[in-house]
This record gives sequence, C-alpha cells and structure tokens, in this order.
Amino acid sequence: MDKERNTERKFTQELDKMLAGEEPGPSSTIDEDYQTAIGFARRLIELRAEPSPAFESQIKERLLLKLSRREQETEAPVQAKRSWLWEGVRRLVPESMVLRAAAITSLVAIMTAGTLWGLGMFTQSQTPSLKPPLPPPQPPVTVEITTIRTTSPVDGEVECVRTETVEVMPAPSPGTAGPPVIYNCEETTWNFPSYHKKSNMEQQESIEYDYYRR
Amino acid sequence: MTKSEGKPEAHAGESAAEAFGEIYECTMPKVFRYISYRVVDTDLAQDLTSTVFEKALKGFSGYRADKASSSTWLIAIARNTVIDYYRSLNSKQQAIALDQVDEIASNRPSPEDDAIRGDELRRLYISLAGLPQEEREIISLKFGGELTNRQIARMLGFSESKVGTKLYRAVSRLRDKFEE
Repeated sequence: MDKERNTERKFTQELDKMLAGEEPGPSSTIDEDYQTAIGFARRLIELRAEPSPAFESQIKERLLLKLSRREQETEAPVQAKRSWLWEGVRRLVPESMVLRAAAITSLVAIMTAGTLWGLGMFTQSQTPSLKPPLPPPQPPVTVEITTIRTTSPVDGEVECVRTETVEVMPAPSPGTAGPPVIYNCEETTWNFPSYHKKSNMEQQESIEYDYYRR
Repeated sequence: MTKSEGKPEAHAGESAAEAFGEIYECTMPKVFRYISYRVVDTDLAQDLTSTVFEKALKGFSGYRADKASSSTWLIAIARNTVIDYYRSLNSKQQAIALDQVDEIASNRPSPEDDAIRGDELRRLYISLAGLPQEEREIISLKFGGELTNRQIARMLGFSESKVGTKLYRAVSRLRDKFEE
C-alpha cells in the first residue's frame, strides 16, 4: 500500500516537472509499470494539441475589441455628464468683458466675505472672551454723617461721626447672588468737601452726602 | 512549448485590458488543450475556447486573484462550458458525438511531415473517448489545464492523495487502450 502511494506520489512529482518543461530526475525505481507510465506521460505531453497562431490572434483581437467597447460604454455617460456641467458653467459666464469682470469681482467679494464669516470675524461678539466679566455697577449708598462740633472753619477739618450701620445689597448678577454686604462704620475724620456751599451748620444738623463704595 | 507559467495577476495601476491580456496570453493554450481533451474536435475546441474567454471577460470585474489563480479560474469556466455543451445535446446527439470521435480525429488536418503524430493523436483521442468520464476529466485537467493535484482535488471535491491515485490509474489505463 505504501509502495503504491509512493509510486503515485513520485509519478505526480515527475509529471509536474515535465509539464513545467523540466526533465524528470534520474529514477531509482525499477518498477516497469512506473517507467512505462512516465514514458507514456511524456508522449502525452508531446502530443498535446496547440491552438493555431491564427486562432490565437483572432480571438485576442476580438476580445480586446469587446473590452474597449465596454470601457467606452462605461465612460460615455461620465463624459456626457462632464460636458453637460461644462455647458452649464459656460452659459452662466456672460460674453461681455465688462459683465465678465463684474461677475468675477462679485464672485471674489462673495468668496472673501464667506471666508471672513467662516473665520468668525462677524460673530466675534458671540464668542466667549477670556477676560473676567466686569462687576455690575453698584447702586449708590446714602450714608448719613453727623458733625461733632457746631462750628468749623471753611475748608478746615470737620469731625464727623457715623453711627449707622450701612447695609448694601449688591446688584444681582448671574451666578453671584449672595448675602447682603454689611459695612461696619467707624469714627472717622473727614475733610469737609470744598464744593459744599454751606459753611454754617446748626447743632445736630445733618447733611447728606452721596457715598460711593470703592 | 508552453508560454510563461508565472501567475499573471492584475497589478496596481494596470488597466483592465492589460491585466486581461496578460491572463489571456498565459492561460489560453491551457484552456484550449483542456477543451480539446474533452471534446476531441479542434474546431469545436476553438469555438468553446472563444466562449470561455468571452465569459471570463464578462466576469473579469468580479475575479479575485487572492481567491484563485487565473488558471484555476479559467479552467473552472472551461469545465462548466464543456458541461453546458454536453447538456445542450440530447442523449442521441451525445451518442453520435462519441461515435464520431474516430471520424473527427481521422479528419484532423495533419501535415505531410507529421503523419505519425497525426496518427498517434487520432489513437489518443479514440482511447480518451473510451475512458470513464471521471478519469478523462482528471487527465484533461492535468495534461490540458496543467493544474496541480491540489487544484484538481478542490475542483472535483476529492482528497489530494485520491487525485494522485486516480491520475496514475487513468494514465495506465489510457496507455493500455492506446497500445491495444
């Protein structure tokens, strides 16, 4: 069984060599059947029919013709589409040189505007800034101060005492709503404002000044 | 005798016509010989070879070189074409076709200086026609299509070793018939 398998394998190997145009190697097999089979296989290869050169070139020519026709058929719709597009573009362009220049200028302007718009030049205010937001304007706070002395020289020092506690409610701003800010007033010496016209004040008289928190 | 046996596969940048032309050059003789073994008539073999390449041209866009070599692909098409041809004949016509092998083979044009070859070819075709279908197929695939035993095994659904056994027996049987 193994001997038969080996003979068949050897036969296939030698046959493949002969089909590839090589000479079979020297055989150590003395099996007569094998040698006869190899010899007959060689004869079969020699006897193989070959296509005539005329047939070979004729069929090749026909196939290439069909192939080129097929390629033309597949390319034709694409070319038709391209020419239709080109014709459309050509119709859009005016024949007058002045109109043509105007059209090109308009086109360039549109393209420039489009580019700038694309870069966000027109929508800059909407873009978030990296700077911190400015604090909202604070409402003026009215503080009442009372002089200690009854008289005072013009442009001189006036001792005033604030006895109230001023409560300032900060203006609401997004995300910063908080508790009221409380200012504890202390005894302070103030310069009498020079622009104040009133030079004489009665005892316990009070003047109101606008106080702006810094 | 044979042309380049390299694997002609389509390369990148190569046009379809170039790739197909390359495949044609390398495989056409194999396809023709395979069909000649199967139909034992040169004119018919030429017609069927032409049909095979037209079918191949139609299906060329779907051909995958990584799935099968061009030889295997075209011999498979040739095999189906021959099967279709025999199916198209009714049983009576098939019997006549086999009876006519002797006549067809004898009528093959043989050059004056190659009378012996012509005679041997005629005897070979008669002997081939007398083989069982399966053995004739294996001999055609091997000597005509030049397929490896592995390729034949895949095509016929046998194991590779079984193909080797059948091939050796078929050649021996053909030799016996040839020398009768």
